Amino acid sequence: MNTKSQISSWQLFSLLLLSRLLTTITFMPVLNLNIGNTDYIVSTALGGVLSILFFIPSFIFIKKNRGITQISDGVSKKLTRLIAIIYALFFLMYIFSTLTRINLFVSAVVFPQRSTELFMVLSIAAACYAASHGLEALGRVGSVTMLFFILSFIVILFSLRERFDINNLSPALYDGIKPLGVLIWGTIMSTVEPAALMIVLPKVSGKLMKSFVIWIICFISIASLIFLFLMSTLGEAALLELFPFHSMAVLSQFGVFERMDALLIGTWIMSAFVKSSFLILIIADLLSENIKKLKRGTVIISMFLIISAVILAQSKSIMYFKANLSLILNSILFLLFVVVIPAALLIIDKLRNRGAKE
Amino acid sequence: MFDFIKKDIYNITDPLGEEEPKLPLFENLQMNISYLKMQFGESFDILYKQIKLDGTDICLVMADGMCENILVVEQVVKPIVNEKKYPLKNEKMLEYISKNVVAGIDQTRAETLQDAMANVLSGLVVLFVDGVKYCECFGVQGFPKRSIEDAISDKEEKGAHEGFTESFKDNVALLRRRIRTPVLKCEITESGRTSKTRVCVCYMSDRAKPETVEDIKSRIKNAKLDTVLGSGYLRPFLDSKRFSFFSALGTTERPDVACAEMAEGRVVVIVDGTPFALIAPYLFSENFQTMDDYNFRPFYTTLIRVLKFASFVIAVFLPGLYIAICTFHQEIVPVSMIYDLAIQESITPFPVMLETIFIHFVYEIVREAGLRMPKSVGQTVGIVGALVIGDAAVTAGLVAAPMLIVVALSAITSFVVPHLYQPVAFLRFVFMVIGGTFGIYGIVIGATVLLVNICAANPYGVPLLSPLAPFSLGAMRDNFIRETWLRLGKRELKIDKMEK
Repeated sequence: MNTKSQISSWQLFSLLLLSRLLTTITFMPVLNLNIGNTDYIVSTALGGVLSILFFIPSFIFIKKNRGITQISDGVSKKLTRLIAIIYALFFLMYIFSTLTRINLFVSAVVFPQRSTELFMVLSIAAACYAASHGLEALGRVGSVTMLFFILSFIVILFSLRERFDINNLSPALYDGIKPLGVLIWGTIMSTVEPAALMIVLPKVSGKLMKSFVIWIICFISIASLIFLFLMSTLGEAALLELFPFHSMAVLSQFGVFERMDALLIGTWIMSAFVKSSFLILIIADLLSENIKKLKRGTVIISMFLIISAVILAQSKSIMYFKANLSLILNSILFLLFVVVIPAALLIIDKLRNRGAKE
Repeated sequence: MFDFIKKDIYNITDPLGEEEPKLPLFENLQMNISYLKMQFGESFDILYKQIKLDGTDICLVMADGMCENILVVEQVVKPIVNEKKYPLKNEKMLEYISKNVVAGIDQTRAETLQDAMANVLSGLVVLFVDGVKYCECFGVQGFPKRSIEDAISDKEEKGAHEGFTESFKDNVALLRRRIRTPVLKCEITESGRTSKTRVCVCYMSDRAKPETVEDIKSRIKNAKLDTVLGSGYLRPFLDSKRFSFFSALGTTERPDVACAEMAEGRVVVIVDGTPFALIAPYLFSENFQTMDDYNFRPFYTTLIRVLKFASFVIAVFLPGLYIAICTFHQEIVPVSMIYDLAIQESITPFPVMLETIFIHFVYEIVREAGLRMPKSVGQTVGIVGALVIGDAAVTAGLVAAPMLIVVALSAITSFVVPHLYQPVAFLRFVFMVIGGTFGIYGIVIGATVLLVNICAANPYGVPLLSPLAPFSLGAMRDNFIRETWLRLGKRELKIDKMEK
């Protein structure tokens, strides 16, 4: 992998935080019925804290200041190629997951009476265009988008302050410990951003460890705050909505402006765009830097065709959508790509180093 | 991406082949004169004055109208004719003339016929001596030129009332007067194979990055152009290599702005015959800054800067947002307002998007027509256009009154940041189509693509969007806000990668 520094640790922080917060605000509680609303707040905070245990390989990678492909390069070129391909597939799955939610949101909320196919294809084309400009440009876009994202949330939360009522919260653990455990695990396995971090790490300059720790603190605190506001504003009704954050934004009022949901959806789509571009770029870089015959431009064009085809096809099939949200599938992917493969590489690297010393 | 296509297009469109080799001067005077006469043909303004000095043939060549006639007579012809003691050898004679006879400091030597002709055409008197393989050129330029006046396109309330003119030497003098230090370098190069236009690259050697200066000089030198009749000809060669809606080159008609830019490590390019200097690299945020900002008090400047940024956003997005709101998102405006909008729009025959595009199209036509007309006719065009668009169209029920407010507002705001008018006018149409097709969410995607486009521009290694992205806290003190000179005077506010 090209190790020339391209973005600062703070720009990567913005990209990763946008990615994680987008996952938070597009969550769909209708999939987890019979769970009290306070449990969501507790699970977000607890899940965030517990996820640190699963990020140990990421911390070691940051400390070593070497990316996954750099370490696998030391073992064999073939292994690097294999890792590049499977990680590319993993990120492709992750793009599908992100865009599936956005597609559902657009077709259910934004354009309920119109076909969304053209909108989705143009959005994917725009994301590919952004990816073609490279990590440096995306890093800058990420930091500006982060600013908009935070500002829009402050405006929306501020405009909802009068509707905030702590009495809307149900007692914690009302439905027992098991549903809470499921939610905590859901929070942990939704946090796949460290996989992206371990891939782009060689291209990042600055104090990455500090940025990563702040990223963990920020995503736990912001996500918990968002859930607190959501559940305190909508109460149990939040659990019946397809996209409760959108429903919360619909209630917001600021001066003469009566509904701020357009603002929320705007930043939401902006974040999804940046996240998709970031993931497409990672795939393009992974494949073009490790497989000689592939050029970045070719990979990006191929990504556009594949993603568009899959998103258009899945909009006609609920089965695909269900598979995308499957807890078991996502758990396996999370464990494999955030924990097992990086840990295995670290162990192999350690053994090789020990062998070399002896 | 698509580099192979770009290469092919470049090869097809390359207008110039190899440059012709330069011919050395002949020893025989008549052969030199014959060559010049053959090249200049029947041009009436090229004058040849042959004289015999102590038995040696000499010839003075000049372009009539390019030289100051009194200077030619007093500084060149009279001293040469009146001198009594010439050395015997022809070469020594020419050297003697240039060192001891002709008055004036601006002298240069040409050893090729092409250089000699270029000097004649630049307003120098060229002296050929029979038997000598070089000629001496004496600077007595005096071509007609405009005097220094107030900058027409860069008006300032409290700034200097001096603008650049078409004479690049005068322009350089205006810079020198403001920055009296030897680190201000003004280097001349040529561009345009036929026009041989002089281009002056000005920079402060203690601040400008040497690689930036070299890059600019090499781009100017290698620009494949036949003629360079304005700074705009060189613009594509000096701008970002990757397409960007927003240029990485600034333009100014003001010497004080050029000096301020050089003081911040930029390179200023002055093209002979153009009163507009180019500034490279130029940041996006600099489009929102004027010289008056530094003459007004900081709190007022900060207010004006915020207004300018808001105006830019309004100019680009307002028509598109209006269409999107009327078509898709009626819920975000207050109920009372949406009723008024609905009533007004319901009486017009066209869909909102078509109506908006049509009105903006008419507005651009009226603006373009009024721009190049004589002042009095231009005003008439403006008044007729305003009446037709404004009163008559609304009365006839062709357009809604709120639409006129939107057009007027976006038109006025686009003039608040005049440097950005071209991209703003274009993007406005783009966002109108996007807003009418995909609503606010389409506009958001479009705006993000635009943001990517700006962020991707990295002219001369400096990000176009800096100091916002990448963020630089120090430089932000003169960006959205403007701090007092007590703090701005310290030079550590510089932008990353801009200066040495």
